[in-house]
Amino acid sequence: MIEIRNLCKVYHNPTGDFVALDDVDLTIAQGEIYGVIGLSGAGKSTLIRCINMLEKPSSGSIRIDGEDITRMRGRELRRIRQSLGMIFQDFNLLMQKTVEENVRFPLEIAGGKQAGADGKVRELLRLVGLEEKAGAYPAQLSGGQKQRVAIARALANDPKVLLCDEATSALDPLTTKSILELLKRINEKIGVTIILITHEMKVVEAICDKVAVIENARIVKDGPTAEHIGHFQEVM
Amino acid sequence: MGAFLENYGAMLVQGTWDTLYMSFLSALFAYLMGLPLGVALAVTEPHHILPRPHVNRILNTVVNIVRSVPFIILLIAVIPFTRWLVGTSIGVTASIVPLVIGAVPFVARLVESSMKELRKGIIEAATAMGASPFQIIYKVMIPETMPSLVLGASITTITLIGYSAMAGAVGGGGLGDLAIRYGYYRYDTTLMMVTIVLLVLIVQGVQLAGTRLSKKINRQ
Repeated sequence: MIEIRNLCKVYHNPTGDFVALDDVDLTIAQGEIYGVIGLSGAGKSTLIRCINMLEKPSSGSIRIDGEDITRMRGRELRRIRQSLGMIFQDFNLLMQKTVEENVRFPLEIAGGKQAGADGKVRELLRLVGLEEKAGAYPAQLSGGQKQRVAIARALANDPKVLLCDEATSALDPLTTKSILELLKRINEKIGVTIILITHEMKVVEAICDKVAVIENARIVKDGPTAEHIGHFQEVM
Repeated sequence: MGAFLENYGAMLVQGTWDTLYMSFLSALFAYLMGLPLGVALAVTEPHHILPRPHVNRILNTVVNIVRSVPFIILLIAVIPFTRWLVGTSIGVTASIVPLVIGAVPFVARLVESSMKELRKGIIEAATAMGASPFQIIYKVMIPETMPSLVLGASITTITLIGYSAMAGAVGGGGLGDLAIRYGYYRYDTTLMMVTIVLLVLIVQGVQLAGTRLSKKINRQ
């Protein structure tokens, strides 16, 4: 469902060009949990940010269900972004809005008075186990709870894909484990494809069906997680 | 004391009212123009949601030019414009024109700096959800920076109270006008002290209200 072909990203800095992605090919199937692992600066963050065009690739294509997002602009790009949820390392919740308002926010963005928005928000809060925090503000929540709100928010528009940009890197090991379990459960329950980038092998081992290793802007290895554990131990 | 109030009481009440009227009304008009201008200064910067380097440069230059002109000069320079707009250049209502012109770029800078306090990640998250630049401005940037905008509004109002005293010097009215006419020209120290005390009280009140409101609405 996601086909990345010959993807390159070059940053033009005053001090010279920096190649963040060099001819990256990746195919991610519907319903998979796909991990991209690499050291800081390897290009993994740029890669995931290209998938929803937060970064504009220099060349190459990214097809999502056959549509090339790299060619999209304006309204068309905003429409496809609504079907790509994203969560971040530092959560990026709206601090002046309640948990409930945060989860409702993508529905508002998508437009119109959506019938059943209240029900949808409640259902999502139940899914992430935060029903009783509906009226709380993000500042009153722990890191793990904030990421749960972010996950509920990312799922509000029933996305096909959930992009996780170092989603557990700011969390302690125990909280990381519970967030990963939640992602796994969501993947099984609603079949959303999950792409996650991380620098932690434990994260990949815990939930990824497949994994790609990125090193110096290139994918050096990819395939089913089980086959590659040994290789990661070498490179990481 | 009784004689003082009998002589000057009505005048001081009128002066206080005029000062409040000039400051608050010009603050309101200044925000009608300064808020969009401040947002435009922020969003047209490189890497923001509507990067337009040329527009950004022009806006910055215009804001800096108006801010460079000393207010007392601006006050006199815009007299023909004020006459054209409100029919007179004397009086409380007329003085609102230069006050607004002077305050718009000031407000724009305050708004711009409030916008820049917002973490980039929050705007990025909204972009990733498929929000349009306009939605990001009015559903994310403005609500998320509201506590900071409120503080800015109290700073603006207080600055305008000071400016309105200068406007008084050229026939604008208000407490500043009283302080200059009676206190400065006629050596009536008592009246001057009283107007200053009144100004101090107004400024304290505005600042206190601004700080309290900002705290009350801030959920962070």
